[in-house]
Amino acid sequence: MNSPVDDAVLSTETGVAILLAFSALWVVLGWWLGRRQDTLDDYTLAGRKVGLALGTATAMATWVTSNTTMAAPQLALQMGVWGMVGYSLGSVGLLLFAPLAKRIRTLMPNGYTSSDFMRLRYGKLAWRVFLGISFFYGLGWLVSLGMAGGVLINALTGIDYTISMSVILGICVLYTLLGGLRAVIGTDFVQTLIILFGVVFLAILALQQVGVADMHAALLKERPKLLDLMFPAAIMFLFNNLLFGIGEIFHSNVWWSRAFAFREGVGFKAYALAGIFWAPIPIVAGFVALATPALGLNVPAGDMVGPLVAAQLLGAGGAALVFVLVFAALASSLDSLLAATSDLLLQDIYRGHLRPQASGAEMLRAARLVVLLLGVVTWLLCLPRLTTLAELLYFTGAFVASTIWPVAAGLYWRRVNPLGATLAMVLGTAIGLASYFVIGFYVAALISAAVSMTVVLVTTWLAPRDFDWRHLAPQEAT
Amino acid sequence: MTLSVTGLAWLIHGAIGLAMVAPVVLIVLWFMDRKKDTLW
Repeated sequence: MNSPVDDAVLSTETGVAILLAFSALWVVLGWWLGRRQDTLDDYTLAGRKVGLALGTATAMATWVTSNTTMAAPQLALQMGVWGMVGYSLGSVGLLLFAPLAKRIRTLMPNGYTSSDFMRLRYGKLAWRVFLGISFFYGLGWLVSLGMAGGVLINALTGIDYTISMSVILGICVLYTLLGGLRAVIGTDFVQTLIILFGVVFLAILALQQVGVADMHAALLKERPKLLDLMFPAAIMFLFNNLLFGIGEIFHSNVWWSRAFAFREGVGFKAYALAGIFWAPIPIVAGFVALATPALGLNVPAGDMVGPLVAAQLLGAGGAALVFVLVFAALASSLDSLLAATSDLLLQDIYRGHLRPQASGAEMLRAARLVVLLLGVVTWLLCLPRLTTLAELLYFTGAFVASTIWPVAAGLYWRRVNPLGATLAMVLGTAIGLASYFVIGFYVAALISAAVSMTVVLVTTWLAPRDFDWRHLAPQEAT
Repeated sequence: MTLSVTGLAWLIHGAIGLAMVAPVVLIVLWFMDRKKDTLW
């Protein structure tokens, strides 16, 4: 998707103006939200007092990435109705995490990271294996989002890739650095509202210009496959996406850190509501692609179908709105990943491996330094614009799906064998990766989850252990 | 098996309807919770 300046759907001047205005808004908001932060709990977990509205919005905003707004129309164009519906099933991960979030908050009232759970529940070997998976996934997602930011802004406005990528990454690092998780959650709330109002506005305007009946008639005539409910590739995509999403959410510290940050009693409701309200977004953002046959639009790059249709239907204003949406979607996910991956580095590498006796004040200073360092490393990895790094995300499915069973069973089942849980992650990942290369991308997550489940069940059946849940809450708040 | 025009209309309008409700619910929840929420 290497669009030259002439192909941009928005003028560079407009793009720069939007970029500057929203960058200033996020940084000022981040600074304002972070102005009263005295403890590590304040900085990394927003004081553990986040309420329902902000909790729901942050879960929604984080799960709405640039992919949701850009790839959903592309999937609708490639796989039709099931493409949109399959993407919206990403909400199942949020819904299933709702009871887990409640359980996590109850069992670990002073916990910090998902890796804390692995260490306390299964021991150091499982902890290190899990950390490897988490860092690989976290850094892969960060780099792919940073690159996506540069590529999308370049394609939409013609602003140079390096400048676009540096601005989006720099802004997110700056306000996360200034305000910690408070800034991330506060900006997420505003970004969620922008995304929701924006996609609904675009959808209603699009429907006024191309009715559903015209859309349906043109699709039946030119692309009937897109309305086929038995489209095999789309059905396979649907199941793979479902498992991949569950694996991503169950293991990632992005979601665990929110479970720790939400006020008591909020976690279940926030994740359940976020799942319900996230589900329509890929359909609302994606269905405009189904209007392309009715509009007679020729789409050169699949992932640009959303902005192209918006520009065709609504002119420069539509393209500008898509740009604002994409910027909000990118920032809301990038900031969350920066904060959550920094927490892992801080708690599990700095305190866990290097400075076990670090005081609260030292940890607070280190927290800011870690955010900055992670931002610099991500920026360096994004600079060469290696598309192969973006492709890494395709096979992270094998990694993350291997953690579903060790996490879920470990939270509810006392008897899980710790060595079995470790083996489940190692073998699930290895066999899932092998199947990715031997069979195809669409089975990696499925096979990894199946192997991991089998290993957990068999090892626990052969050598059950008796875990005392009180071992999960030994830590003191810093 | 092809999705009918009614099915497509339900899917699109249903999704838009739910997406319209979401920001209203979020704002109402925030308003109700604003004194307990220490974020601001």
